[in-house]
Amino acid sequence: MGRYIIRRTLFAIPTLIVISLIIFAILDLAPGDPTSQLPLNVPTEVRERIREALGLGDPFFISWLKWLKLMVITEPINAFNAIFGTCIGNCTDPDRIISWSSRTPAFNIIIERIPQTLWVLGIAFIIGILIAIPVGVISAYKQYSLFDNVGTFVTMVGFSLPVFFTGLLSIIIFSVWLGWFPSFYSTTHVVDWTSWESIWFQIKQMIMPVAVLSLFNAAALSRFTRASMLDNLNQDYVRTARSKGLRENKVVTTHVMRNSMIPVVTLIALQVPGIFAGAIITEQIFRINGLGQLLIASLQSADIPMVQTLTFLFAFLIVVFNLVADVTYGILDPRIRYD
Amino acid sequence: MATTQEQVEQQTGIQEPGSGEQHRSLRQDVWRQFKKHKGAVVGLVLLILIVLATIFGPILWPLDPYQINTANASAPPSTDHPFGTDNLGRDVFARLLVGGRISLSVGFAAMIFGLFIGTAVGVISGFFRKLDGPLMRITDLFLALPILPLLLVVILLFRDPLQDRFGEELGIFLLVVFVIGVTSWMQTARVVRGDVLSLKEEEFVLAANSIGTRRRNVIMRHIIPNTLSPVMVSASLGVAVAIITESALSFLGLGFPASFPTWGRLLFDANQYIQISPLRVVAPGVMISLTVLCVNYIGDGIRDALDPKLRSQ
Repeated sequence: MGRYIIRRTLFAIPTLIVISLIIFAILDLAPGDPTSQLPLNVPTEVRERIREALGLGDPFFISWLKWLKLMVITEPINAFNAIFGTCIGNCTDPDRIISWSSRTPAFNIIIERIPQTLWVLGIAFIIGILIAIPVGVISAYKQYSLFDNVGTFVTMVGFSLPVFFTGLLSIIIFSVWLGWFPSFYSTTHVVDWTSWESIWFQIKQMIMPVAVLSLFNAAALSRFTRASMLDNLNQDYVRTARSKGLRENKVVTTHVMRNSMIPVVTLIALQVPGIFAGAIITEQIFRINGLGQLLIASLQSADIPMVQTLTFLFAFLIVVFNLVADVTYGILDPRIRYD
Repeated sequence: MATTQEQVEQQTGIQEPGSGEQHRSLRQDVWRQFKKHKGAVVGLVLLILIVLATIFGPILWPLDPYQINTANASAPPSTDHPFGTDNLGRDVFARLLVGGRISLSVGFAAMIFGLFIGTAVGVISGFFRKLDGPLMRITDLFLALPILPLLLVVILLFRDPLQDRFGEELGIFLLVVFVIGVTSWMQTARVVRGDVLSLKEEEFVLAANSIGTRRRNVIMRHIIPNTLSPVMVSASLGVAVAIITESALSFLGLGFPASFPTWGRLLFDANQYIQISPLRVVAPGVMISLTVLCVNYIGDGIRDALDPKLRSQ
């Protein structure tokens, strides 16, 4: 198992390098140039120096390698220094990836945006799991019952409705018509944990985005849970467990569920990077200034370093969670042997 | 073709008792099972209605979807305009019908393109052992790409050059179909490869090889027709994914231009007027959701119908 994990991790590295090359190559073809916005009276000489400082003069492979070094070596060291107060490498004037539109280090902006994204999407993800698993388990156990039929229909609908439509629909119903919740998320609101009013405001503005996203997450997951439970419910070992006189409760929870949850857990791990992709659309609907909104804004202002950094982070999350899913599958399912 | 079909029947073991007198082909059997799935049948009927409405609707509906009439802007629903008008006084219903044409053609074209790549990659890597490793590594790599951010980047960068080359409408259409197709073939390739790996060890392939059938004909006549069932399921999923992706891109303002009303674009444009005319948001949203729901139900029905365990019941 240890060897498998090491092999899988080593394989993830070339994957990430190739992905970074693809991202870099696509963006290198971009027509945008940060010096085109400079005033016309800036002399050509100065303009050239600015281009050089931004690293625009280098040939493709050199600029890619420079960027990759910044991304995977320099920035993690900077983060390490910042967290632990150490001084490894050049810590007085460290090299940073600079966003073109805000002229500040890209990672500083990203760190500012992470809490908003994690608050809404993280909670939606957890609620989604908490709804999906019981619904899936009960649907499968009582297959073709009323609960199952209604549940299957609702999950099918939840799975088919795109988030941008359910989001807008909830705004129409709950903000425009009923006026219960604000139609957009106010990120300037700082939660004051001593005041009920402040906490209530935060809950009110989070309800709609969280509900919309957790419905979507729950739908796919509960369909999968149901299918996985059904696969196991008719197995011989279940009949054996019943025939030796185990209580039904115990048969379902310790025998069937434990086996059915193996693929479900891996699917949950695989869905984590999807949260951040979902953020792109959800944050646009509810105007949450998180990572997804940052990506769209950077794209529109042709802020190439920012787009590269964010896209690479998304890719990194996907590769890491694929790895996590594979490894947990191996740990949870003793039938899988890798060596 | 007839021999392969018998082979399939033997493989899947669905020779029902009494089939001697009334022989049913695999296709009839699948259809019979498909009809039992109520959701799938309703989905199929609705989808056909939607497709017909988008094909013939713009011809039959008298109002012009591009006719601007600012005197009658943002009008509520009436007998003349069943869904009201937009902020420039254009008829929402007429725009919905025209928008459906583009959304559905993007969905189907991207699905066909994705299926073509997926099936080709799957068959090649299943059939030729030397290419299997590299092709599957490429598939893994594509699965690890952050699809939505990359789609946005690619569309933003290549929209203008392609529009200059092929004209405004065709340029963006080709770009959207291409990018959705190129990023959605991986699951099909994996499933088809698995099927081909087991199919090529079957006796009918051995028989075909032994009578000297050319390799190309073995692939075209014996292998590909037998991978049809997983491909059909992928096809239905592919249409749903393509329609949702196109709408999401248009919704983010990075798909089709405003002069080109797809359902996603209509939703994006209506978003600013959500307070004044909420129906403008609901109508295209319902159309996208309904189409995707129908397609997903059809996919469910096909999957059940092709499952020999369920069909023999």
